[in-house]
Amino acid sequence: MKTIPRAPEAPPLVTVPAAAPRALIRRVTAVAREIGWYLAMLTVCGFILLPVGWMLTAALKPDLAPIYTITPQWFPTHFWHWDNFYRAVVDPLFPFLRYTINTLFVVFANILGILISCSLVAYPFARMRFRGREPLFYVLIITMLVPWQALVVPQFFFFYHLGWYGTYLPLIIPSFGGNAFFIFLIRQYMRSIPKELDEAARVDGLSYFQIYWRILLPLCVPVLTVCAVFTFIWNWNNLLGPLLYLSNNSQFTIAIGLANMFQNTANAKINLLMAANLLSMIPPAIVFLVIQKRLIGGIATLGLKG
Amino acid sequence: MAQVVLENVTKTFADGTQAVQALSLIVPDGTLMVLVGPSGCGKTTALRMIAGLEQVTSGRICIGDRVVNELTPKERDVAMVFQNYALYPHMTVYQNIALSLKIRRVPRTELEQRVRDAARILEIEELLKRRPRELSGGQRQRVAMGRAIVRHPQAFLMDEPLSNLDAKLRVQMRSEISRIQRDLGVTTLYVTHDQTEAMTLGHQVAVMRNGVLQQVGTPQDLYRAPANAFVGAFIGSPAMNMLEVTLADDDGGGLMAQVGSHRLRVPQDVLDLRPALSAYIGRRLALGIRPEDMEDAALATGADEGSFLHVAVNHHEDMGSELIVYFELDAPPVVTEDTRDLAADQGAEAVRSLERQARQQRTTVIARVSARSKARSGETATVHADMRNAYFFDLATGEAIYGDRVAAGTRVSAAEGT
Repeated sequence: MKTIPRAPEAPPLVTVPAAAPRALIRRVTAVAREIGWYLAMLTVCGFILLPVGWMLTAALKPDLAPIYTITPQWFPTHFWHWDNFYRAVVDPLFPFLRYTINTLFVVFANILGILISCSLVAYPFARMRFRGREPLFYVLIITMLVPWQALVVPQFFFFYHLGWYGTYLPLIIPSFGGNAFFIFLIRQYMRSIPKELDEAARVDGLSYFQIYWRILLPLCVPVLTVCAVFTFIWNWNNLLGPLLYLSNNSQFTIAIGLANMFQNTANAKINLLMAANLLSMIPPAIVFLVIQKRLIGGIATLGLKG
Repeated sequence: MAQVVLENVTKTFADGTQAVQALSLIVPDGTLMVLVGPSGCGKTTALRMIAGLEQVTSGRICIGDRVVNELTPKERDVAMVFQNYALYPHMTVYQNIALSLKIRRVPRTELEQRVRDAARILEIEELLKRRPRELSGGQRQRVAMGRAIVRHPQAFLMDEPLSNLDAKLRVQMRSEISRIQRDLGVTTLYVTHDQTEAMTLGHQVAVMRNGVLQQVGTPQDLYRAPANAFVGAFIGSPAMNMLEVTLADDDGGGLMAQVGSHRLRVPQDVLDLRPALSAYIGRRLALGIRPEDMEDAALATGADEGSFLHVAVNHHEDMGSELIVYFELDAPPVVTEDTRDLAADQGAEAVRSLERQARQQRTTVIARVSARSKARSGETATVHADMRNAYFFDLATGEAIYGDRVAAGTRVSAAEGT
């Protein structure tokens, strides 16, 4: 606690009691409250990070050290085998880099599909007047209510009969057909952009597509970022899709690769599995950190203007 | 550049609202025509129909020698300036101005030249690299103008372009727009609800009300010979005083207007020029006197004593150059659809005030007198109302009472020489 020294050349002519201690008390309480608040948040953070700490401990253990101890070992550990991370990446049974590339391919193809299709569908819903626009939009919203589990089996047969089993197509093509939730988000955002911009553009001679491409799309970057980040994370973590449609180890994505590794290598290489798991968490974390500010900005604007 | 012609243009919206009714208007090549009227009178809708942003329900719009009803905004080749400027926020000023030329695939060197020329005319050359959000209101307004003039279009359409600026800047931009329009000689339609803007800017002014065109003419036409009470009360600031009076025979053989307990003599030459007035003898009608047509009787040399009003001044405002005097007369105000609409446009307080005056059968009159006048709040004064410049309107129809011999645009007192 810092107290402000009185200026030496100004000796107190009139003493002002009571006021100074009261200010001091107020300051102390404020600081104490701040400290308490930080402690509470640190506790919650620590609690959330416990499993990650356990993963790190497990990843740093040598191959034969017991993993599943009765009192779980949290992060500070006496094993420091950092080379496990290297071994996890180069493990011949588990082509980690291959999986990463596959996953990135699926993820970016999905982002591309979502951004193109959803913004293109949202544009007329937000900006054009045509017969049946409202009913169509409600149909779109209703599709969000269909449980995803109900679609899995018919979708599988559909793609199987198209001959797409064992390819990436069933994992990518649907995103080019749009996603009701993202269409809804983008439409709401577009509606918050002044209509005069479209009109000015029409008078300037732009076609409907040019208005979409040159005016609205650049202005929708915040909401498109939100859509892209969500798509990234959903697809990075998607297990069931690849599990259903991919059959060949060389095609596998990270999620399915990790699941397989866990099954195949049972208790032998849990340490490597944990290392691989930790590594696989890095890309989404980076995406989050980089776009965090934009993302929150985007979501906030959506909330305000939606 | 071309003339713009509207023939019986009507717009009915899907909900049945008739925004514009059988509007016929000719905007000659190179003219600045102002469409003016209270909010909701259909002026913006008319402009948007010319731009192609609204479909025409019936009627015909021609730009140059082409009927443009079915053409897209692009094909109509008109440029529009929007009330909120509608600048593309993600583009620089340069890109904003250049976009329409880029879309039309104008060669690069010509495009650059034209953007620079437009920027030079508007004095925004040093802003070309900035984005709209870094500009002040006045600068944005200039960019919006730049976007229009770079096109060299057939016509400019301006939708209340100055309404978002503060008063001082508005006056400055007004003369700027006037200068640019004169220099470029482009046919311009300008929409505003501000009658001062309309009067100062327009070569021709068209007054609209509830989707119906009331009168078209030069600012002088509208001021000196309003077609009806609406135009009379709308044009001019402060607004024309409107009182319900009875026209009666004067003892001396002429006519006089009974204004509550006051009498105002109607000179013979007024009657000569408005022969239709004689049909109103013994009937009630609306008398309109502009504030500037009244003067402190002591300062009005040679004025007819028959048109003196002895009044108690409620309130005065010394403007330095002149004195605005408020007083009450015990005659009811004119309450018609016209005056109600105009009051409504000024806000709820104006409507309440009109209703109160009607209930009390008293009208607050505003006079603009010489600064030398001794009239002060709370004192009595004698005011001369120049009846040679008075206006008469039919109470039922609101039509101005002239008579066949008066051509629009002339006024009784030619002596003023204005």
